[in-house]
Amino acid sequence: MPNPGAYDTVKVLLVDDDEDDAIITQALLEQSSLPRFEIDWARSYDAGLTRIKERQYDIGLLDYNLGSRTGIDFLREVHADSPHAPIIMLTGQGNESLVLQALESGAIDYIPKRNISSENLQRTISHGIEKIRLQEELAANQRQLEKTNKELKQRTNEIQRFYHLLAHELKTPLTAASEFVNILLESIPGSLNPAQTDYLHLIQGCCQHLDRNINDLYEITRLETGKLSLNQQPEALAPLVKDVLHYLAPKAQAKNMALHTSLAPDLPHVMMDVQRIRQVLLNLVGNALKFTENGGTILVQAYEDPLCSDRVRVAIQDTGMGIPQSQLTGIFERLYQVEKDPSTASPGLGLGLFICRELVKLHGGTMSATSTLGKGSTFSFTLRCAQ
Amino acid sequence: MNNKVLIIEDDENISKALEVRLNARGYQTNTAFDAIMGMQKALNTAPDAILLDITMPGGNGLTLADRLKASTKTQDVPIIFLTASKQPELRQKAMALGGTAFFEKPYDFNYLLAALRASIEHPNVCLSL
Repeated sequence: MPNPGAYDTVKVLLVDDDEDDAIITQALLEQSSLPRFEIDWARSYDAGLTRIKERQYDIGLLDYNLGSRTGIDFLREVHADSPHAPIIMLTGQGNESLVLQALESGAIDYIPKRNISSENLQRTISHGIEKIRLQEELAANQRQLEKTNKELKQRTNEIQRFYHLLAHELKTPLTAASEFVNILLESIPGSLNPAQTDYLHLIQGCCQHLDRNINDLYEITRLETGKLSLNQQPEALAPLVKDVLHYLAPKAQAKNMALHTSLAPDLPHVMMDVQRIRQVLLNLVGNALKFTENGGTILVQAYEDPLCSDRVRVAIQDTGMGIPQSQLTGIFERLYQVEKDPSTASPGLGLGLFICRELVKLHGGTMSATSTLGKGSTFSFTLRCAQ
Repeated sequence: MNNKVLIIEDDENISKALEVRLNARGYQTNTAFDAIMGMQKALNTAPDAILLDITMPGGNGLTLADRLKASTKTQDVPIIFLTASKQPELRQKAMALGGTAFFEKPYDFNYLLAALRASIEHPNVCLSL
């Protein structure tokens, strides 16, 4: 649609069966030099319909009274075929009550005949054409957005399928490798000497590490493509904490470390997906075990959050080496380890804490860390209390 | 008499490893490397339990489980599913088809063995592992 401010000529269809009114309207439009209005006058309802089908107009000017029918009928008939045809209704004295009906029937604007002037006509036509142009631009943008959204969804599904396939293809040979190591460790084909046993344990550890990395990569994809959903129920924290610590007890014993708990006695149930919070706890306590020297202590606490009474805070405190303040802010970021200087990075992709934070966020909670170099770190997260 | 386990697994290495570890514990094993061979061996060897991989050529393990449960000869044989896929809905689908246990690869063999023993002793028990 042309913008009259930007085009020299605007093609107007005038549908009016009152000759005097039509002559006046044409005369008023002809006073304009820029844009110049090229007016096609249809003297009846049917003539107007025929013209609109035969020719292209920039704008229509439509009288309300058209013989036995009305401009509203005309609007409905035209818009049934061309929903965006730009038509301005000319309303006579006493017809103002019909304005709302005209607008609902698709008129883009109206001009009361008693106020008609050259300036008024030009301004209303300009606004009408601009309105249509903007509507079409908006519709085009919306179509583009819908197309982009569809493409993004398709891409998301492709990424998800790729990671499914990748996880499957990596885990199959990993399982076989791990199983044959176990066969050797079980001395099924024959006994091993101590060095061979040690080396096989190293391979076994590498297999487990690789498996964790594959799982982390897969979890990241599910988190980032919005495919990870939670099954949150009101649950007690104490049995879960006990279960996680029981699972990690052999690792703690191997490093001669003490695992303690301090759970508030009247701790309310929290809303959680038990499997996911288990994953968070395993990761946080596992990290504490990994980064604390032999003989250290780990304390898992759970208490009503003093800052927010409808939240429970779970804190994992270690007596490890601590984390420099400069690194604390970035520690939950995706691929934090990878982006660090390789000479100072710890083993791993740096996805674990990111996954933990995202899982806690999905539960509506927050995660944070404090640390003192040489004394230890505390990682904590909040969960919503069950109603 | 030793219990017979049918391993239906397309990865020959994993199949071999399962065989070796099960044989070492006194189980008799048969192997099949796709769904069709799996169905044939299930019908012909009267296994006490089936270890069934889910993603295989010639139809997936879930379809095969459905057929095994539909046959009067194999409907009571406990099925333990194994999969390297991480699709979360698989476990639910597998258990709904009458599986007695479900393991993601790499599996913990000791848990797998415990599930196998329990399945053979109590074929109708569903083990949530």
